[in-house]
Amino acid sequence: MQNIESSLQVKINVDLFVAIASVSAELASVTTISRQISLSAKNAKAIAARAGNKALGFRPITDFIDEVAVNIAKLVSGVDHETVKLSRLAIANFYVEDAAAKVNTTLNKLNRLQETDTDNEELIQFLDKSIDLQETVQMQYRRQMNELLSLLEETNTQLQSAEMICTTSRTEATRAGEFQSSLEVVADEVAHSVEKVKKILRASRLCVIEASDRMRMNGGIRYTLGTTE
Amino acid sequence: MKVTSLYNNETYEWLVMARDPEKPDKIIDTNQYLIKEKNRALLLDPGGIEIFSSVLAATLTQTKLEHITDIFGSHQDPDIVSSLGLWNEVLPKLTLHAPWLWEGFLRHFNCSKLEYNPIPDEGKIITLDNSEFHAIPAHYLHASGNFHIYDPQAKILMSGDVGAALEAPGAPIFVENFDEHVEKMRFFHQRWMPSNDAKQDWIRRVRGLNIEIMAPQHGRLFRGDDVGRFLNWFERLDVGIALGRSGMI
Ligand SMILES: [Fe+2]
Ligand SMILES: [Fe+2]
Repeated sequence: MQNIESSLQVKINVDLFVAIASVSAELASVTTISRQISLSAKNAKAIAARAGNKALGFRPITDFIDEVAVNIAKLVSGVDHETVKLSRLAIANFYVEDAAAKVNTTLNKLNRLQETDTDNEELIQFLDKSIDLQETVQMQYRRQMNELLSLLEETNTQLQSAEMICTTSRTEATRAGEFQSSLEVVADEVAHSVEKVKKILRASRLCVIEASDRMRMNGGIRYTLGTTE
Repeated sequence: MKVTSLYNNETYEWLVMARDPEKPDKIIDTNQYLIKEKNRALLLDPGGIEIFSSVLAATLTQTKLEHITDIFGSHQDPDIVSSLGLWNEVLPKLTLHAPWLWEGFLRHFNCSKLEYNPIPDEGKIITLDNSEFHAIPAHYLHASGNFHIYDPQAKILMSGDVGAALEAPGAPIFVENFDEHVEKMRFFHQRWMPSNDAKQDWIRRVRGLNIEIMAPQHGRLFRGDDVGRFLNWFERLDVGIALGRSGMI
């Protein structure tokens, strides 16, 4: 029984680590995309300068786009940072659990060696403490998870304002005469990049939720004292 | 896991814990040593993750959990100390005595709570409450930072991988016929030991020690005249044999 429990546990832990690592992997490409958005903003600025009065309304928009790009990059690096913390907590939890599983095996072995049914008091105390410790770590983990989700939410809000800017850009572009199509291309580029980031954030969010489910499953497993292997 | 007493006086006892019948196949068999005082115990080369439960259970037949305060790691190998992260979790107060050279490496095994006592290249005395043990240099035998434990009172030398033999499961604790034992040691020493110079230097120093039992980390222990026989045999053995095997490039 212990073996089934511990192999299930290893599986859950592995899934958990994979889920967390996937968040970082998903986010890695966002930096590149936000750089592309900045580049598009610079492009738009150059076009707007050439268009002069015809693109007056477009100029402040380019500053906005730039700002959004910077904000997205900042938020995403924040998400990455929080993900590292989450992963540390998952590892701490893994250590505590692993030690508890092995101490549980030790109890059985010790009883066999000493030919007794009375469990070693110190080991029992360790297991009790380790359950408390697991609960603490899991609480910290849940808090960290919420932190992460709210950061993702904030990033999403930034993206929504970026989308609005794209719509405004298109309207302004229609007033720019012969520069209309160049400005529209820029607006499309930005819209395309924003869409990509949104997709990545959705995937990251799913990974975080997946990680949280894994942790919950983990929290459901307790050591049955005295079970044999 | 079988526990055998090697030496006992009023202050402390030497024990070897070995021949774990539950050891998974393909894992090299290891000897774990325990020195216990009344209220304190030192584990020497506590072994790998896979045998942690067996070693802990065997240890707790001898002493209390809270009394295990010290671990000695002769070098950084997985069969020596990969269980470190678990001891770190389980023991409330733990000092690890290990080569200074390996600190940054050994810390990869979750050493978050324990205290690392780095042993300098020239060696160090490790003290418990009422007894002391000499960590003597055995560098390049086989690891580049490597120590053995010598106890002048018990006349025991815990010799790490030196004197190791690859044995069938359940082999006796002591060498009974040295000449027969030689073949179980030859390849191990020729292939795992890299330096004839390091070997000669170690033999020279060890010959100056008064040794009743030489206790390696694998295989059987040497007693009485077999210690001198081992030193003579090792002196003549050419080690570092893989050097001639660089045929691919
Ligand atoms: Fe080794
Ligand atoms: Fe070894």
